[in-house]
Order: sequence, then C-alpha cells, then structure tokens
Amino acid sequence: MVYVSLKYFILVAALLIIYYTLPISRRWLGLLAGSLFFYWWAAGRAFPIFLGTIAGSYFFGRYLHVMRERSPNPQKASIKRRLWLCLAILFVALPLILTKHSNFVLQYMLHRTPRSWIVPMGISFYSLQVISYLVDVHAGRTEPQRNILKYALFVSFFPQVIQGPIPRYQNLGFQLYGGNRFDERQFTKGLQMVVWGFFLKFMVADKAGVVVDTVFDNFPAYEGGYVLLAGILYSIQLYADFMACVAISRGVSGLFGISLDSNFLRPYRSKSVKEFWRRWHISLSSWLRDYIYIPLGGSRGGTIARYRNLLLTFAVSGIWHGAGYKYLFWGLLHGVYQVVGDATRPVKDRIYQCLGMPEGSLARDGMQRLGTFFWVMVGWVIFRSRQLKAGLAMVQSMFTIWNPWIFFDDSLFRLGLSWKECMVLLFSILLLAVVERAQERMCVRDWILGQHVIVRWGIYIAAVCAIWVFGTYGIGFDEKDFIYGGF
Amino acid sequence: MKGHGIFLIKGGMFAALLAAVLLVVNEVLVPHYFYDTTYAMTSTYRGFYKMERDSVDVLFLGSSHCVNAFSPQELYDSHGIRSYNLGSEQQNLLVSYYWLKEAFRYQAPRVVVLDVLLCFPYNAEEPLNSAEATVRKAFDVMRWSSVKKEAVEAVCEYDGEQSLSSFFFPNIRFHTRWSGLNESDFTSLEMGRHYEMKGYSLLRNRCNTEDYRPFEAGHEDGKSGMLPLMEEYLDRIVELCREEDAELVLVKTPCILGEVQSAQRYNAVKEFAEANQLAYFDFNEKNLYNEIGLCLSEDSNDGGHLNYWGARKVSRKMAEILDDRYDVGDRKDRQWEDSRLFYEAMVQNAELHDTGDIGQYLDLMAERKGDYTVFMAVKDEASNALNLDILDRLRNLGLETDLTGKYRNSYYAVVSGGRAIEEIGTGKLAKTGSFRNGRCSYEIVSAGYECGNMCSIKINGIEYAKGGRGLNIVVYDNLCKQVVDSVCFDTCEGLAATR
Repeated sequence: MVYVSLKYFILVAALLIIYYTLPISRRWLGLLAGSLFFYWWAAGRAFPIFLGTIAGSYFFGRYLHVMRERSPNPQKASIKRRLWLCLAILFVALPLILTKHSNFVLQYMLHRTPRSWIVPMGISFYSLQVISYLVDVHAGRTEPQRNILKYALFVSFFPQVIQGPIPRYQNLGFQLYGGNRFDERQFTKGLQMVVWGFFLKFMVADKAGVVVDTVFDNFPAYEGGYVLLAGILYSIQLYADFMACVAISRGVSGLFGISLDSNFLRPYRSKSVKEFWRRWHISLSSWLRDYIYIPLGGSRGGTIARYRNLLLTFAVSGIWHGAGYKYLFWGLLHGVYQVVGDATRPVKDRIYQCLGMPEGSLARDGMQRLGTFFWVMVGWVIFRSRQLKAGLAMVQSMFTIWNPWIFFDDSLFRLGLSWKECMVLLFSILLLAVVERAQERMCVRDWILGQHVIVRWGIYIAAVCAIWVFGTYGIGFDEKDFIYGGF
Repeated sequence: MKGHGIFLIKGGMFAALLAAVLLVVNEVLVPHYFYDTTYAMTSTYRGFYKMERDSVDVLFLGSSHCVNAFSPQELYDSHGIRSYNLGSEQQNLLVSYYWLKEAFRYQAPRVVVLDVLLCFPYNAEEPLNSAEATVRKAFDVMRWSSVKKEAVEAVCEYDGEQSLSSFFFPNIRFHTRWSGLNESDFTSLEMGRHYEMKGYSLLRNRCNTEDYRPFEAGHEDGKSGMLPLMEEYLDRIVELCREEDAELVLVKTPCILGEVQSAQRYNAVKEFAEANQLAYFDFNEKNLYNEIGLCLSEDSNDGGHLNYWGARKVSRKMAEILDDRYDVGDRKDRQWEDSRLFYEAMVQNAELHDTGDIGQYLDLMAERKGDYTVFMAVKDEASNALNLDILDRLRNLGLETDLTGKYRNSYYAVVSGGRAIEEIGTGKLAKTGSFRNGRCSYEIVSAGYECGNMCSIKINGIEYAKGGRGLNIVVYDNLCKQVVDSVCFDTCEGLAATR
C-alpha cells in the first residue's frame, strides 16, 4: 500500500518543498535523494541489490557505448558487442529470473525445496526499464548517461519505480535533470490525478475486490454465474487498480513538473484483442513490441513466422507477469486470440456483412467490443485463479453451471458487499465509464480547471469526501496492495 | 516559488476548507452514544467536560455495572453529594486510569469510587480485557491532550489490531458507518445538550431470577487472580489518587457470579485494598446486601446490571457511606438541581414500563403527555372491561371518544403534544401520519373482531404493537426520541397487561 499510505504523501510533501526551494540546476539532486530514500524505506533489505543493478547497468551502458564508438561500423553490431549486450541483459535480468522464477522451477519442475529470496520491489518494472536503456544505448538510439547519479535517478525515480509505467530514457531523462519551474496548472492537474487514483483504488478496485476474493478464494463453492460475475468484476478491478497506481504515479510526477506516459487508453473499448494490447499496459506492450517482437522478426518472414513471433512475445509477457503455468497459459492464450482473430477476420467480415452490420456501425462495434471484453475476461479468470487447473475449471463452470437466479434472489449481496456497497460500486463503475467516454472528446482535468472556482472546489471537495466516506479502506478491510505490484 | 503567492494562498484556503469539511464528516462518522441509547458514552464524557471546574466531589469509574449502579442524582438528592459517573461499557482499568487522569485536569474530586469487575478476566481473549469497540467508545470522545495521546499510545501498544492513525483520523476506523447513520448522527449538537444523567444509565427491566445468593465474607479461603495488566493499572490508579490527594474506594456492585467466585474475588480485592489502605465495599457480601434490602430478582435488569430500583438502593447506601467517611455531603449545586426534572422524566419512563396497572399507566402518561406521543389501537374487543375510572383517565389524556358499549369495534388514537386524533368504527381503520415535526412517521391499523381482528402500530416502519386482545398502547418519548414502552391491556376482560 506504499503509494496510498499517509507516510508516502508526507514524503512527497517534504520532497516538493525541497525540490522547489533548491536552485533549478540542483533540483534533480533533491529528487535523487528522495527516490533513493523512498526505495530504501519501501524495500529495506533489497536496497543493495537495487543499487548493484543501477551501478552495474550504468557501467555496462557506458561500455556498450564505448564499444559502439570504437566500432568501425557502429550500425552493424559485432558478435563481441552482441555478447556484451547479452551479458549486460543477463546481469540485469538474473535477479529477476532468480527471485521470481527459480522457485517455480525448483518446486514444480525439479520437485526440490524452494529457496527464500529477497525480492526487490518493482524488480519486474525497473529491470525492463534498464534493459531497454541498455539495448537503446547498444543500438545507438540513445546516448548513455555519463553521470552515475543522474542515471541512478532515471532508474529510481520514486513515483514509478515500483509499478511503472515502464519509462524510456529518451522520454524521461531530460525531464528529470533539467529542473522544472513550479507550474500552477501542472501542479493542480497532478493533484487531480492523485484524487482520481484514490477514487479508482478505493471506490472501484478494492470494492470490487471484496466480491472477487470471495468467489476466487472459495471456488468451487461459487460456480456458474458467480464466476461470470467475479470474472467481470476482476476485469474491472484489475483495470481500476492498475490505472489507480499509474494515475497516482503520474499525478505525483506532475507535482514535480514531470510528465509520465499514460499506460491505458480505454482498453475495454477495444474491438479486438490486438487493439486491446495497444490500449492496455501500453508501456509494457510497446516494450514487448520493441525489444521482443521486432527483434524476433516482427511481421517479416510471412504469416507463419508472424504468428510464431506473436506467440513467443505473449509467452514472454505471461512469464513476466509471474511464475506458474497459469501465467504462461494466459500469455499464450492472448497470442492464440490474436492468431485466431487474424486468421478468421475474412470469415467474420463476411458474417457481419450477411447480418447487415457494416464496418463502423453501432451494432457491429458493440458486438466486437462485447466479444473482446468477454475473451479478455476469460483470460483474466485464469490469470486470477489459484492455479491453471482451477482457472480452467472456473471457466468451464461459467459455461456449464446454470444458476441465473443468483442475480435475482439477493445471493450477490452475500459475497461480502451489502446492497448499499454494491450501489456505490455500481455508481463508481458508471462514473468511470462516463469519464472515459468524456475523455474521448476532451481532457476532463482541463475542463474542471476551466470552471468557476466554486464549481471547481465543489468538485474537488465532493470527490475527496466521497472517497473518504464510501471508499473501501481502513480497519475492517484487508488492505490490498496494488495488484501489479506483485508482478 | 516567487510569483506564486496568490496560488499558495488559494491553496491554503482550499486546504483549510477541505479540512473543515472533513472534520465535519468525521464528526458524523464517529458513532455517537447519546441519551437515547442504553450506554450514553458520548453524553457522559461530553457532559463531563461541560461541568463547572472543581464542582465534582466524587467520581465513579468502572464497567457497565458501575454505570447502572450509581446515580449521581440519587446521591445528590439523598445526601447532597456532587458526583459524576465516568464509567463505561466494559471499562477496563487502563481506560479507567486514563479517564481518571483526564478528569483530574478539570475536577478535583475528593473521592474516586472504582468498580473492580474488570480487574478479573472478562474478555480475556482481548488484549485489554474488553472489546475494542468499547475502548474506542471511551477514548474517541476524550479531548486531545497529552493524556489522550498517552492513552491511545498505550492502547496501540497492547492491542496490535489498533492503529494510532485511526485515532487521529477516525474515518479509518469508522468509514463503513455511512451505511448505518441515523438521526442522532446528524443532530449531535442538539443531542449533546442532554447530559443530565451525569453518566448514569437507567435500566428498567426486572430479571426475576432466583439463582442468586450473596456470599458470606470469611467462608471461602480461595482467591481469584487479577489480570496482570489490569493489576498494573490498578496500581497506577492508586498512585494517581495519592498524587492528587483523592481517596480511592473500591466497590463491587451486585451481580450473579456464583457464590464461590464472588467470594474469591472479594478476597483478592480485600487483600489488595488492605495492602494499600483502601476502603472496599462489595454489595454481594451478605451483610451489606441484606442491610440495604437488595433483592437481585427485583432489583437487577438481567442478573448483572442493576435496574433503576436496585441502583436507587445502592446509590443511596453509597451516598451514606461517602458522607459518613469523607464528609462530601450536604452540598448545594445548580448543576444537580437543574438535572432533576430530566432525571425524574427518565424515572417515570421506567415506572411506566414497570407498571401493569392500567389506571396508573394512564396517569403516568397524562403527567407527561406533553413529552409523549401515545399510540393506541384496538384488536378484537376493548370495551367490555372498561370502567368509569379508566374512561376518566383516558379523558385526562385528551381522548374524547366514549368506548362504552362499543363491543368489538375498531379504534385507534394518537395523542401527540396534548392533541388527540382518534377514530372508532365497525370497519377496519387505518391512519398514517407523522410527528416530531415530520421526523418520524407512523402507520396505525385497528380491526375489531368482526372486521379483521388485528392491530398494528408502526413507527418509522417498525412494528411495535404487542398485537394482543384489547387496547394496544405504544408510548414514544419525544424527549428520549425512542419508544419507551409497548403494552397491551386486555380491556375486554380482566385488564391484564402483556409486554
């Protein structure tokens, strides 16, 4: 719960004072000190591993650059340079592989006793961040950072180090080092974003999580319609939870005048799984595209090769999310969705034509969106389940157990949320949908800023009070960490 | 940051406004226990802060047994003792200690009377020997000071489930309360004006149990063990009283605990009291019990807590002891004079609830008809056993319908603020309306034997009618904002009361 804790925001407030009172050219030092302190505070014993990764990758980056400079043909990487790149990537990825995947191999594949590792917080995120930096330096797409302290700030920038979004050096670095002047508008928008993040976390994600946990933790006590409901709610929970984290990260960064990339683009409005992955966890999707899919050959080499590359990329995505067959299956499932979606497109187009649903029609868009959501939701059921076998059984029960009366006989109010809480959740989800719809036409935050001060303050106070009163937090609730913090 | 002064000022103003709104929200969210609840902790503690400085000579501390046993008004009326009862539900010794410490900041009591129930295991599975909610009830009302800070730190130290931040930001603890907010949560300013009971909670049931015998001192050698943490805080209370030059008196109110256990606890406390040169009075001890004419069957609400009639006996005896030993009697104080009317109204509610005599019942209602809203509905038949005396008393209440000879008729009446609405007929009758300026709604239905044979009296959607044959009466006390009694008098035959 680091990013929603009181201590975190006390730290942010203290850092803001330090940041804006330092001379502009020295402001990055304040950020660095704050970022390292934050990581030390949040990660404790894993701090040295984190520092080691920063130091090692810095020197690897420098060396890869030197090798490229000395190379007679910098555009074409020699075997030696490639080997050094592999070594650098291995250096960064090894802790990730060891801490997150070795126990799965030991326990389930080799049937040995698992080991207790110190898992650095955010290792999955900062490892990808550092790998992209190294590859970009190797490929000459970016100049390496000469100052190790500035490089350390790039890796450790506190609002995003634990849960992303995964930044690229080209986009983030210059914002960190130059020092930002206090910008009232950006500062206010940052605060708006933080409040929005709290809304998503406490009013949507954690509230939905109560029902989701009841069903998923007690399967097979709940089957059929319960699984369908929990699947839908988990899809919403995961989205709101991750978006909350990113919103808070972006909001806090905004307070320092730093702009982080958005990680979502209304993914549940996608009309295909392929489009979904262009809208969901964008920083990871683009990372996988740039550093896995394209290096594998991308769409070059014919249909079969493209499909193979897709499956491999999504397998990596699955493995990145965690150790276990269910993650691999989930990743491959999304790969298969896309392969099947691509291969059956002509057939589907013909069916839509026969049904009188031309491209762009409301009915066709609606059906495509509903279908995409459904297949993505099926994937999330497996993703959330305890194990692959249980996940498959849950999906099966969704189709084979007939108990629609649970939606009418108040059974749903016995899943941990009273009817009043359910109403709050429903209202919150609707508000999220309305805001997303509005975002297609305008920037909601700018719209609020354009209102009269009474309206503006009224909106802010109402929002904070609503979260304060109706939010799912505090004593009596299991505090839920951000879901993506566990990946 | 130069040039951003206006922005910062605006930001500061917004932060102040937001903080003020959130303070109000938290005030609503924190549960309030006013005089319309059994244990009016909010009224007790807020009221204590409103007492004139150094006007309280005797303080009572302890569990609900203490809250129900010692009535400051009885002590004042019988011996002129100015006392206040700071007891609370499941008040453990840690809570007693910190409330005593807080009390010394405002008052200089000469005597502190401490109920020892929680020295022994009560909720032993809880870190503080009492439920977390009761600890919160006692401390959430305490004003912020070094004492409260110390108290909540101690609570959090012993109870890992409690969080310091939830005392500073009570919404962390109580934010789920939004779904159960009621009238008193939104009228706390108005409700907070009544603290006339001065910490005493009046119970009005009689347990009618025969399973109680007081123990005889000296017949049992064994000794119960106090909980170490409770004993530690008992020591601290002793020390604090010495520092503040107040006499500490230990008491145990009468309750069903078993003769042996009562005696063993008595022995343990007696030993402690002697070691610390303290007075100790156990009302379960046979001599004392008999001396004041206690009968637990009649004087206890449920076997553990004294009802009004038991509290009256114990309070008056306690007043006598305190006056004799510590010379704290014969004081005159406006604060106790002014509270007498309210107290008597509460006593009258108890008597109303206790009586089975329809004549007395109607008289009691008539005495306070300005405060009561009375609902009456006939089921089956209600005229046969009525006599002139009862009809006169009904008229005193403001009812004009003559029920004589109206065999098996339907009839309802609503008397509110001295004004009566009534209807009689041979068919089924129904009436809906509101009282207390529209804050409460009612639905009343009456059907005589021939036209449905039923009755219903619903207030805010809740059924209160007993549904027996005859005259069903529900009495709502507008002062207490609650139903204080529901009874059915069989006015067809025998006039027996059913509750």
